[in-house]
Amino acid sequence: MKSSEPGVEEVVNWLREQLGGALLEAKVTGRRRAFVRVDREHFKASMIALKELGMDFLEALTGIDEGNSIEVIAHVGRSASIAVKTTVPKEDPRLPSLVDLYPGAEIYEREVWEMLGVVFEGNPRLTRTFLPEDWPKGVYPLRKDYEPKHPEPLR
Amino acid sequence: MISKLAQVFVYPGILYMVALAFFLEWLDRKLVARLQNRVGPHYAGPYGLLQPLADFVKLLTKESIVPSGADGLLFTLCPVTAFIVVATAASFVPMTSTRGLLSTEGDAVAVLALITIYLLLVYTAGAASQSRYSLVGAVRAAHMLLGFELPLMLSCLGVIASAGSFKLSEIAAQGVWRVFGLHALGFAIFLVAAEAELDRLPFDIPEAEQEIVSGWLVEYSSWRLALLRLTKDMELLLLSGLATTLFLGGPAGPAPPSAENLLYPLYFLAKTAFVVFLLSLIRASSARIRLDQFVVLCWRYLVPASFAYLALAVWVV
Amino acid sequence: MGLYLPVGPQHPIHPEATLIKLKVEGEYVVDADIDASFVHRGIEKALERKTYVQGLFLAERICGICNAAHTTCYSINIEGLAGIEVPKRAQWLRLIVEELARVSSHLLWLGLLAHSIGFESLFMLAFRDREAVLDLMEGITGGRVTTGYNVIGGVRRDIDAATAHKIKSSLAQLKERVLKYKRLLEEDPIVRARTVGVGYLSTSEAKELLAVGPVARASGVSYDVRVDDPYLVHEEVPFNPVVYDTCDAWGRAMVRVDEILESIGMVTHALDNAPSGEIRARVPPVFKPPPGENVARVEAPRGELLHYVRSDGTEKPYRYKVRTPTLANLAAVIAMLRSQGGKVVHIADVPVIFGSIDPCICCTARVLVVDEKGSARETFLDDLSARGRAR
Repeated sequence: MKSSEPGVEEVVNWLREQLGGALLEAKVTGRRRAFVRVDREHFKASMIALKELGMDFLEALTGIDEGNSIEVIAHVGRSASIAVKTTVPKEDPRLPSLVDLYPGAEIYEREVWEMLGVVFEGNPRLTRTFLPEDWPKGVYPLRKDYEPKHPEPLR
Repeated sequence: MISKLAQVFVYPGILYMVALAFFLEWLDRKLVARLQNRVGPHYAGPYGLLQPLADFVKLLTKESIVPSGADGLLFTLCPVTAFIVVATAASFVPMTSTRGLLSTEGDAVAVLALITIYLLLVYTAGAASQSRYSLVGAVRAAHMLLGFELPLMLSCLGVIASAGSFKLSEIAAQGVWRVFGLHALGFAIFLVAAEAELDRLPFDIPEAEQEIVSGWLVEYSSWRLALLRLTKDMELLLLSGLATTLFLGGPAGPAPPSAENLLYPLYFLAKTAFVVFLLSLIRASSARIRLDQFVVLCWRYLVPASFAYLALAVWVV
Repeated sequence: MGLYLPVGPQHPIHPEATLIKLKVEGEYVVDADIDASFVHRGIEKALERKTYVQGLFLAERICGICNAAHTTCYSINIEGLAGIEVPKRAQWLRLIVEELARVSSHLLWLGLLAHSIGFESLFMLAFRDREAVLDLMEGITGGRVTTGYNVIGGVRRDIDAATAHKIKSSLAQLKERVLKYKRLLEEDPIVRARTVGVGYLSTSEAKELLAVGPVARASGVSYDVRVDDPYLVHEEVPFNPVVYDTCDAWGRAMVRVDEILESIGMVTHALDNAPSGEIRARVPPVFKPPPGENVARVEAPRGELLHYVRSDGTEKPYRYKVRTPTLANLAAVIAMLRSQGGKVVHIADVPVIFGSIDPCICCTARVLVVDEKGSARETFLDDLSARGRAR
């Protein structure tokens, strides 16, 4: 009952075809693992291309604080796991939302927004999900410059 | 005068009924626990017999909290009135002799009417609490009333018809076992309706713990809750006692006339315990049915069956 | 006019503090939302401050009941990143413990489902049978629930022949009981009345809302990481992924019960066929994997669990991301809780629906940092009580 998804090489080749030069880098690191990088303008296009190929499962959205910019990774695929990486500058952390492609992505986008401050334009409900009600606005806990001020545990 | 007071308050009056009610609660809890591979009440008294009393006393020592939005007078009046109503109804049931503590012409109907009043008080108690969960529970209780009242009454009426009397003491004096043949249907209907009336699984919808956190009695605490729980135990006594009187021949049994006063209460106890055993069996082996499914069950199966039973009971007699 | 009914954060049906906000009209649920913010512990941030070896123990405590899945995923992730070769026997042993944890988790869930429909007896009996599995876990790993079994490079303890024999005989007895529960689920009228048709999630909805695990498999979406992206030695252990197409809570219950039976078969097969050999590859005490990134996926009892790591060459990860199956199923459960069109949701169905996704909220809510004590805290408490009165 293996899913009928294409193999990892096929996916990378397809993306190369569809995006051409916009595919900044692509590496296959395992039997079912690949990491590709695109720039912000082509992020949505690459997700649409993947969905056209039949990859209808978005696994997760990861956000990483890289100093001046925030990297957002979309993990796609049931059998092979393709990570589509893109970078947004911290001064303007916006990305188009993926909810029209994957309605279930709403909660992943909420998490990345809440923890790192990336605004997904088009997400219908970008509201507080995981932080307490009295959390100060504009403070994003997963950013590297955020230091939790809780007391150290007693030994 | 003193002996009359002693009768009313001690034996076979309030204290005796309360003790019996506690005993039946213990029996129910122990039976269900053993059926679920658990131990049940164990530490309070021998075999845990004093557990219900211990729970009652513990509740009395707790802080009494009245929700600020609740109707203060009704909130307090409901448990007190409920206890009085159920205790009165239970007084009609013959427990120690063929005549109950109270007895009058048509008292079977009086008991049924008092049961209905108790159910209305359940609804009022939930509404008086003015909390989300209690309102939902109160509405559910009212809903259920529509379902099981009729089968409960009709099954009793069937026995009354075949016994030929509206007086509980006369029915008890007949000492006839009515569990075979046609009356098995009536007994079964009565048991199912009693489970619903007592808010026990599979019909504990108004107090579904997992959905609405104790439903109509969620806001009660301390002595009011203790009184409500005691009322529920008395209800168990009342309904199983009623079943004993109507279907199992009451406290009557083979006994030399001098030993009647000793043996009749024991017979009553044994028969009532048997009814509680059946009720616990149903409770331990069922999941909770949903409200709309319950109403369908009642009106599609129970009500026609109880009409059929009544008709046949009248006809056969 | 709708009544706002909060189910939680303190509620008998919730094993953890969750708030399900329901809008009800009478007995029908009209709208729903979930607030999962009560159990945050700041684990993703904490993982960035721990070494890889320390992080393993933290990852184990993301969730008590799925701890075998989390440690398996973490170990596979780091081993893949650093290119560590894990001995064959260790992989077989990992599979045995993982499948036993799955049996334990599904039995717990069966008890919770019974509890949510008021079937106290089944709840007690399921937990009694789970004790057998917990005793087996203790015999293998030393811990009943939190195993502490996987390490980076292999496993800690071996299973000797006596333990293997005990496992097999205990599981054979358990299998008989689970078959009885399966019959109960199929035949008991009240259980069927409370679960058949309840919590409907169509196949297309399951795909769109990215459901995983038994929630997806009960809606006809055949996705099991053990089949689609095999890890450990799942390619060598025969099993059938369980898929039902009834799309309701009953289907999810049947999927899990059948998975218990499958897992018992897998453990028995693995005990008979595991090769002998080393159980642990040596890892340097100061462990610094090369810079890079990796993704590992595991079929936890609740669904697909994903770990992502980015390392910068030091002994602490630069970023560690955990995406748990319950987070993926939250969108699906919100859709299931809404009455739409012909589908009606009663208040009484809410515990059944929410329980049917097997929620593990402490897995879901990991990314909070406890903070802002002192005056901020006090304000919050006053505010809360004022809000409570105003409502």
